Amino acid sequence: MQAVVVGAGKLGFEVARRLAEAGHEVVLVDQEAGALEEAAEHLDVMTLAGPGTSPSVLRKAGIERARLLVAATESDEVNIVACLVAKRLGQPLCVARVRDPEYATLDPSGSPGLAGWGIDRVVRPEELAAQEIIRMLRTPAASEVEFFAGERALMVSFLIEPQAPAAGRRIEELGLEQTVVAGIIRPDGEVVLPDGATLIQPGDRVYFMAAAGPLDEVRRLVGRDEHPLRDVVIFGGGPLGLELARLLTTGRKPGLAVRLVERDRQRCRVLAERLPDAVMVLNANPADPDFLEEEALARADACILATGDDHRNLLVGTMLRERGTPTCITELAREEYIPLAHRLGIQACVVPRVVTASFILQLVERRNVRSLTLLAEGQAEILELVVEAGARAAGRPVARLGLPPGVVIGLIIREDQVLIPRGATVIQPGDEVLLFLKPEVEPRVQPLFRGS
Amino acid sequence: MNIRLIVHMLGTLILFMGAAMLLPAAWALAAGTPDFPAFLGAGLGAGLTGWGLRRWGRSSHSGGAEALHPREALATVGLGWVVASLVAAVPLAWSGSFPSFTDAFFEATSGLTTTGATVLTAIEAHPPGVLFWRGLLHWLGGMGIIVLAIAILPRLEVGGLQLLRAEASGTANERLRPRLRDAARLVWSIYVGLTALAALLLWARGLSLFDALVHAFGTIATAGSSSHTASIAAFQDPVVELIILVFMVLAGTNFALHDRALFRGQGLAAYRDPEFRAYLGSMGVLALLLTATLARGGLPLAEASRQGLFQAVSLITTTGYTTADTTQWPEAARFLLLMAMFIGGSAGSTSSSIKVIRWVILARVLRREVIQLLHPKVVLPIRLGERSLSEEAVRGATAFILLYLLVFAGAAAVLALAGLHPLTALQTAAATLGNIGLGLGPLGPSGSYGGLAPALKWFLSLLMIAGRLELYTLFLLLTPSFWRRA
Repeated sequence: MQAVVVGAGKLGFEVARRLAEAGHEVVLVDQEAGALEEAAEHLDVMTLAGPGTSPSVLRKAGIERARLLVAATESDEVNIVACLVAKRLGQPLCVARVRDPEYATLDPSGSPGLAGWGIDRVVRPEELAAQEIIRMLRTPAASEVEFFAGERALMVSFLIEPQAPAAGRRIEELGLEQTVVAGIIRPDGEVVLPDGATLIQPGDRVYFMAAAGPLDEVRRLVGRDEHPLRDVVIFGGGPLGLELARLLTTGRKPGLAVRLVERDRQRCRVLAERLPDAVMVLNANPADPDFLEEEALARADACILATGDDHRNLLVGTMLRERGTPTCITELAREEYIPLAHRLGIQACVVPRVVTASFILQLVERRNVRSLTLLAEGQAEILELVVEAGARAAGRPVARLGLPPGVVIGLIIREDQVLIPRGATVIQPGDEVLLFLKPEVEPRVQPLFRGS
Repeated sequence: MNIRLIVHMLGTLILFMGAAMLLPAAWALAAGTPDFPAFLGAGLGAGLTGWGLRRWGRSSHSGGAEALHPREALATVGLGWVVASLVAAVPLAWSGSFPSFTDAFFEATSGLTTTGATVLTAIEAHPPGVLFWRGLLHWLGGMGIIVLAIAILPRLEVGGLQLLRAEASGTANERLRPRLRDAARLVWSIYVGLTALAALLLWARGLSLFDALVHAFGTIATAGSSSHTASIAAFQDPVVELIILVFMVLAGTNFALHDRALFRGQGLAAYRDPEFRAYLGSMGVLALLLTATLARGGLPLAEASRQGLFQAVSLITTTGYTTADTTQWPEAARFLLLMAMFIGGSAGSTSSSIKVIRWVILARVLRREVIQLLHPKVVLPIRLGERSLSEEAVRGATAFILLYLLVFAGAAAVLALAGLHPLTALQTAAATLGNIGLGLGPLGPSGSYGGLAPALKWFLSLLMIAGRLELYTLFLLLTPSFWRRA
């Protein structure tokens, strides 16, 4: 497939990389030669210098034949215009990154954003990252939570602490009935696809899959109790912090107190004016230990670090964990810091660029792929597939699918049922399957579930 | 300071006042009462004077629109109100109803500032021209004579906003229409419409056309002069009370809300407004307190609630109509009335005093102070509904309350030192500064301000104008630096 990516910034670069790695022909357009050189060096893409809104440049990029246009520059207006121009010249699926929620909500129906303007999807990195963080908050103590099949099934990951009941036991000894251990990532980063004999060790990150629900079984194993969120602190009042505060306070029961910490006084005023009264805006340096004590921020149920600066996020997160905050979630610009964050005790990390790129890729991945979630810096992924009629897998029991090593079937969702697969479970057309796999086996797994 | 421009505008105002005098003149002529020549003569004289001043002022700038700077605008409004009161006093002085020009000036000022305090005792004994003029003055002053001038007089383009700001009541002025003239006209058409409707209903209820008009003027201007000594109590009709009650509430509401409800298709949803809610709430609470106090004083509950509700609305809208002789009320109830004089109606209405919105702002500021004790780093803008106010606006509102209370205290001190009973001094200062007019004690509904010393009448007249212009405009004129060449 031919794809044009406008904007070679962090997001454009990431999208172009992922598209190229998935085997697509990518033309990357940017006005800055420097950014393009960088991309040409590292990625297998064609680069083209020039304004992404220019019809002649887009034509040169092959927009007439392209099936996808991703407009990912820093400017909302450039992205919108690039999409409008592209739609006049060809019929690509148009995806625009639009920061300003006023544009993104221009269409009253919400999700399609500017569909009325010919822009097929509007992507707001802050919104996606905020939603991701909120999903994690919904199951506190879990570091990653993903919902699948219309929120009927979910995947959570937990860091196994030494005192957890599951630590030092084999999976078959755990007596799991409603839950599947889909994968384990060892502290050294090794991805393990478990069988019954696999030993769970302290420091492992264990990925569980189950029907959406209270997750009692998982909680018993990792030794954490659920308690409702009453007090959340957000550090950093940038676009992400604002979006988080908004999402946390709209349409939720009023018991939740949100405090938002921001260094800049002017920005604080803007935040306080835009947010409902349930959010208390505090003007202070998040890294000031006196301030942390004064507001007793460490006693909050959860702290979200979104200062826009990785170093500050990690620093404040460490300070909070030392003072006993149960849950810390951080935003990171560089995914290289994720292992460091885990070592520092910060349970969960969100990289907005990666979240956004994953979202965009999901939009253009194969037709039977419902979703694709990257775990642990892309060393493992969760693929949500629909089994098409006539596929090789349809009508076969799990044990005789001929799956390559490096993939585990986590759950099967059949109509309203969430099934835990056994060797004899027969896969039927129309089932949704959740696969935990290593990325390199994906090209061999997907065709099994696709019809001719 | 462009003196000629100011004179030109003052001339316009005098001309306008002269024209207005022809209405009571016509009424006097129809009734065949002896005050006709006073109004005709004063009207013609004011017309001529105004015309002359306009000519003289205009010759400085060749008829075109000239920039009106804040300084000129403030001077025009401040002087305008004094001059208009003086001019309005002339026919009253000539009519023979008033023993001196001082009394006539007090009465005219009380009329224009929508105070409704009177020096007359047996009101029914005075000719209809005089009584009609008192009502008409209320009505002209209610929405602001300057706004009216902008609305109907030859165009005044630049600087009109300055005039409006200097005259309008309340804090944040919302611009109702892109063109100032359209905005002024809009406000006046709502005003005229409300007045006509009120007069029509009162007339239909059986009041004479004269009484209906005078009381409609007094109600919509939230002013409170009646053509009867006993005020609304003279009619002894609960339906009349109800009509006046409803129209007092409407007149004390921000006219921007009426605009949204009537002309912007919002209907009743327009009244879902924090200020309006606080305005109704304060009237409700005061009515309950008054009812309870009156009932405890021995009045039957139905009568207590009828009087309590009417008086609560009358005082919070700064009208000053009465349905009972409040001087006979228990001490506690009269104390409540005094407190109520400081509340005021909504911004952008015809009411005076401090205004509910400023109290709402003050309450939020105090709440913020408490929160800041617990959370020193909190950033908490003062919010009214969806809108948050700038810190300047907040400071302005709290400073105004402080200034208002200081002026009140100072004025009460002057009155007390001049020999009034201290309690009467407090009540009189509150009633005149707040343009309410309802005296308590010896100046109550059945009494009058007539017995005061002439100097005090001048002092109170000034106080009424200061209150009507929300203090700053008039006080600026009294500072020497204002008049110094900039």
